[in-house]
Amino acid sequence: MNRTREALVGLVIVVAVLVTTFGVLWLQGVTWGEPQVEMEAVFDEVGLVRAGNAVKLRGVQVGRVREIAVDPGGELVRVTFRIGEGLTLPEDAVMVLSPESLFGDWQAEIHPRTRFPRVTFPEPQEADVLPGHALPDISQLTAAADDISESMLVLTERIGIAFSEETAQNIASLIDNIEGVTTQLSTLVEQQAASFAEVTDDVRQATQGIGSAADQARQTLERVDEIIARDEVESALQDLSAIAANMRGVSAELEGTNREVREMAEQVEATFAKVQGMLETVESGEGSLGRLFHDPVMAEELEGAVSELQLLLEDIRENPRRYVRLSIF
Amino acid sequence: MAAGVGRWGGLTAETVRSVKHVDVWSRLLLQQMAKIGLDSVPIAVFIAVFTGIVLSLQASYTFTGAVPLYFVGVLVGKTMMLELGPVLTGLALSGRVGANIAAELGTMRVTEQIDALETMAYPPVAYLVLPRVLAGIIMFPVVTALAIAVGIGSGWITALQLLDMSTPEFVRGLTLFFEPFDVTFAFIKATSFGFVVTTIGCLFGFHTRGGAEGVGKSTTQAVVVSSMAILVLDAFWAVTLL
Repeated sequence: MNRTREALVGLVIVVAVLVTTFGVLWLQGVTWGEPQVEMEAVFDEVGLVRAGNAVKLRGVQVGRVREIAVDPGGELVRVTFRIGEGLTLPEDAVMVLSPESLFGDWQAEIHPRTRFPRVTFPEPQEADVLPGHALPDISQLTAAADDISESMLVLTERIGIAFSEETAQNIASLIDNIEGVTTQLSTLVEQQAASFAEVTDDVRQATQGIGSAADQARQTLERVDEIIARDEVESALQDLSAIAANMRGVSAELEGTNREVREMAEQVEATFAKVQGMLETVESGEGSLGRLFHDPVMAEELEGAVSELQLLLEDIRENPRRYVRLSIF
Repeated sequence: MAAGVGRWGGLTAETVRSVKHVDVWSRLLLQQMAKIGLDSVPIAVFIAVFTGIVLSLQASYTFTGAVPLYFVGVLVGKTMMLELGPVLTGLALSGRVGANIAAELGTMRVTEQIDALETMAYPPVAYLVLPRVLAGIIMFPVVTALAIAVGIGSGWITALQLLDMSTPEFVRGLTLFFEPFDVTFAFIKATSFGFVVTTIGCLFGFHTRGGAEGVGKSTTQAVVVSSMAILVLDAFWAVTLL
């Protein structure tokens, strides 16, 4: 075998080894010449993420997942990843694993913890290890949607059972009733609106009255202030004192008058009692007047005597000298 | 069939025992590597080029619609590494290498050259079988690696030129589900194919009877049986390793 064929055999082998080596490294995402740092994150579980998946910061790929292993305690999963050196991670950064598309490829994204306020992250003991969380994948979401659809199906069946023809008629009549009630309510509302307008006018007028009263009160208070300022209060108080003294005098007089009136009333009452007795005597026909009232002859005589007496008095008035005789000395 | 498997086991055991004759087989190893590997590169690359093109086009045809086009890269990469690269290369080399070995050794058998070696106490297995088997074990993965790389490359070029895909799209698909074990799996299969093709070729050549007709019959049987063995091994590795 000549040396050329030997060299070709060697060349083919070397080429195959190089192609395989660099191809594997390239497909694994190994970068040449770019310094990288290795970091870790801990998760409760990691979903479908695998070594080689992209690590993204603000949507840009900055590294790859290198290794995934369960912690010795078995409670956490530790993900080792490499990112470019010099990258500034967000303050209080966390790593979130999520599906990159609907076809099973996942990604690891670095976010500030504040973007996921409702997520409870496992707290790593090491300071330089990121807490992480895996979002549900499409299969889990689909399973949840399946549960919801089954619940909807049950609900629909129950509605179908409950919604019979009688129920439909009841609902139709209920709707009619509601329409009637609505009409009545609208009428009532219109009426109340008119009343409300009147009440509003009254209130406005009352408010205006209150306003004017307030003005008057203010003016009065201003006058009071002026009066107080002009020392007229003292003279008014003096006048009031004099009035009060007069009132006390009047009261005393009224009290005396009252006493006299009471005595007079007592006298009148006694007089009436006497007159009453006299009248009773007269009615019983006792005495001169009684007899006079009860004896017609005597009344007639008395009437005649009165007539004669009147005549006599007239005559005396006209002719006094006939009956009176004056003599001095 | 059981007798054939037994003879194959006996030859394999004899081959392993012949490793001690280093001075016999080492002088012939490089020559066999050239014949089995270097001379097989053109046919392997030719098959890989068109396999990559067809894979790329069929993937785009299948993925029209809901599946994003970057999955063409996924399909081309995974298929070439896990299946078509090793299997098509193995089948091609079983026809070329297996037939060549069976015909060469069969001719030596019917012309009593092997008997002459035995008469001279020269270990025929160490001289004739072991260099071919070692060359097959070494060169089958090498040729397969080149075939995989060429197949992915031709699929990539096809995606760029005929499918209006961009390089980042294709590379994204190529790297999306890549695992280093994919390459290991391909090499395990290629190595086993190399061992099976060369040992079966040697087996049928060593046991050739009946002159020129026997040589032709042995050659045909070697190709058929090694091709079947490749397919059986392909399924075996898929079941046991994936």
